Amino acid sequence: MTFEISELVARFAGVDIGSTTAKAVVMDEEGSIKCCILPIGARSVEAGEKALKAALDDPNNNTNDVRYVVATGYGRVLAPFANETVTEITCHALGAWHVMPATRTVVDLGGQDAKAISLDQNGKVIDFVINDKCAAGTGRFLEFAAKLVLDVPLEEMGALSLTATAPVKISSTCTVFAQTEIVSLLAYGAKKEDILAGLHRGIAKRVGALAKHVGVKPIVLMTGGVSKNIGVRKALEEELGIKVVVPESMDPQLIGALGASLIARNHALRERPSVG
Amino acid sequence: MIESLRERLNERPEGLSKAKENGAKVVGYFCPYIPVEMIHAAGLIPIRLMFGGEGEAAEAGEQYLGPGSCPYARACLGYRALGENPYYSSIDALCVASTCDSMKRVQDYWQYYFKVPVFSIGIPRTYDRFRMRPHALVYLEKEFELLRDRLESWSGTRITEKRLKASIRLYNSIRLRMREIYEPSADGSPKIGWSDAFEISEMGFLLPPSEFLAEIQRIHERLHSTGTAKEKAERGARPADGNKPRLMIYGSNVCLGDRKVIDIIERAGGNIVADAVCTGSKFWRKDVSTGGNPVKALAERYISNINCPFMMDMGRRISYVAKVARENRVDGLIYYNLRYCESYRGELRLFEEALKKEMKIPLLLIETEYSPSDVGTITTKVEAFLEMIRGV
Repeated sequence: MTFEISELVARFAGVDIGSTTAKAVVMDEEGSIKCCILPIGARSVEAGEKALKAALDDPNNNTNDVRYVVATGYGRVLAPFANETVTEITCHALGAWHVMPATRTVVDLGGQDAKAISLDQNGKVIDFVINDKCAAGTGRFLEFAAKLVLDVPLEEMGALSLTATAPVKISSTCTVFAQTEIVSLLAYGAKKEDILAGLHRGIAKRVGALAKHVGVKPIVLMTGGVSKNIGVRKALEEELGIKVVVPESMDPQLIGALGASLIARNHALRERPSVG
Repeated sequence: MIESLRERLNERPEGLSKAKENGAKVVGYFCPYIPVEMIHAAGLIPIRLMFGGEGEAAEAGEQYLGPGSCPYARACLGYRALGENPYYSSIDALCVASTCDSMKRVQDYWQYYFKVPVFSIGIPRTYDRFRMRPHALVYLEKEFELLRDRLESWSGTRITEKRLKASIRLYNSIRLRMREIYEPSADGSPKIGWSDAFEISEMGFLLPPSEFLAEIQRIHERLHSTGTAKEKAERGARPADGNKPRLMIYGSNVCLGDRKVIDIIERAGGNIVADAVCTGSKFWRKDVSTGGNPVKALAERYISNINCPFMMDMGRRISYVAKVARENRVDGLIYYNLRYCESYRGELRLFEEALKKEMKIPLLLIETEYSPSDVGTITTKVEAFLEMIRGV
């Protein structure tokens, strides 16, 4: 295959269409990155395309320099703009390895699923588990509890939970049952921070069990929207008895899309071995 | 290749009802522990009730068993209750092996609500890994003798040694042919896709054995006739499968009609090459000895060749799975678990660890029921598993 090298630097994109947000990471050959996160709404694929366009950030809407797009996440199968689809497991492992090469365990807590991945020194997946079909104890559940039941802004719930003095025990992570439980706890006068701390512990137990299944080896990197919640992170550290870190150089929600963009770059360059 | 068999199967319900009009009796069974030879030798028609995958059948079974019970067990009741599956409706008596609790309840409900006589046999547990406990064998032989006596008095036909041996020889011929069809050629290339071999064996549980034998003889002849690569490809051994990850499926029943997981695996680019599930190669892997006392020979064959997690020692079963996986150069194992089947699910962790140690191959747990709601999640799991095996 002959290839005319344009003056533009070639770019490669990863689009992660999740259950709650669409994420896009665009990377050039040097590895410099642009990105975008958008709420998903009812049309996930459109949100993916919008995120991609926003991340490309080209005032003339010129996207000729985009050589290869890899889609991942729930919506990946429907993405018409993608050259290839790769599962979020492989993408998260690679993305995590890229931002922190010493990562051996990834715990990802997203909008409606939770996963734990064990990886080797090359970012290759050794083992993984995904929670089953229901969204118990994931981002959606926290969002519901915070906003609708406790009236606490999502961004504040982590910090607030750390002020708890007597965390309650919430045995249910099912959204419907937990609501009942929270309502009755409030009726008995439990404090919001104690309830939040209880919720976070419940989630940490659940995803902690996933992590234990694949084997908890340091460094444990936490990704996904919920990793921004300091309360869950601390609870998970307690549950696993090991330090849990979050990516610093990058929004932890973008790790899947980052991994996808790395695969896009690899695959595009593989098809074009004369350049590099 | 297997169209002719499929036609036979389409005609089977009609044939069955004609046979019943002429006075024939149909005996249903669920489990590979049932000595089908004995039912046949009594002049009865054995039908293995192993349909599944349909949510309606499992739901219909919920009037008897709770929604948190084995979906296959629920369907075993549901199909009869719905009255739409001709096989379940044709059953005059049941033969049930007392294995797991779910199957015991299935037996009870069939007896009580469907007024169907049940011949149950006890199956001994055989814990030792390397050695069969001798008294376990004595027990199973006694149970088989009891089954013989009961079938005799119910059918009015004496199961003479001669008749029983004839049935044993017939089923042995089927087993031999199935093995020859399923096992790879001398150069290691498959003669037929696993999916086809599996479907053939499932049809064998419903068709009259002599008719089925004639059909698979024909398939066998075609497979062994020399042919061009094109012909070989048409026979099912697809050369394109060469680079796909080779998978083995292990676990609960993969029933007739329960194509969900198999289809997901094949769509995702996985190549299933071997199985150790209740409905697959368990049936044909070992013959019954034809010398000596036939009841004893049956007991000897059935006691040590059904790798059921409820009855057989785990170490012995892992050795078997590892052997099959090795023979078929398997890259990964799919642990197919019907949800709520604790017989399989309970030992997952030990099994996985032992398999990794012995085989160095990864394992993927797929836990599912008879409903399409989890197709997305299972697809992601399977695709991620394949990416893990072959890289991206």
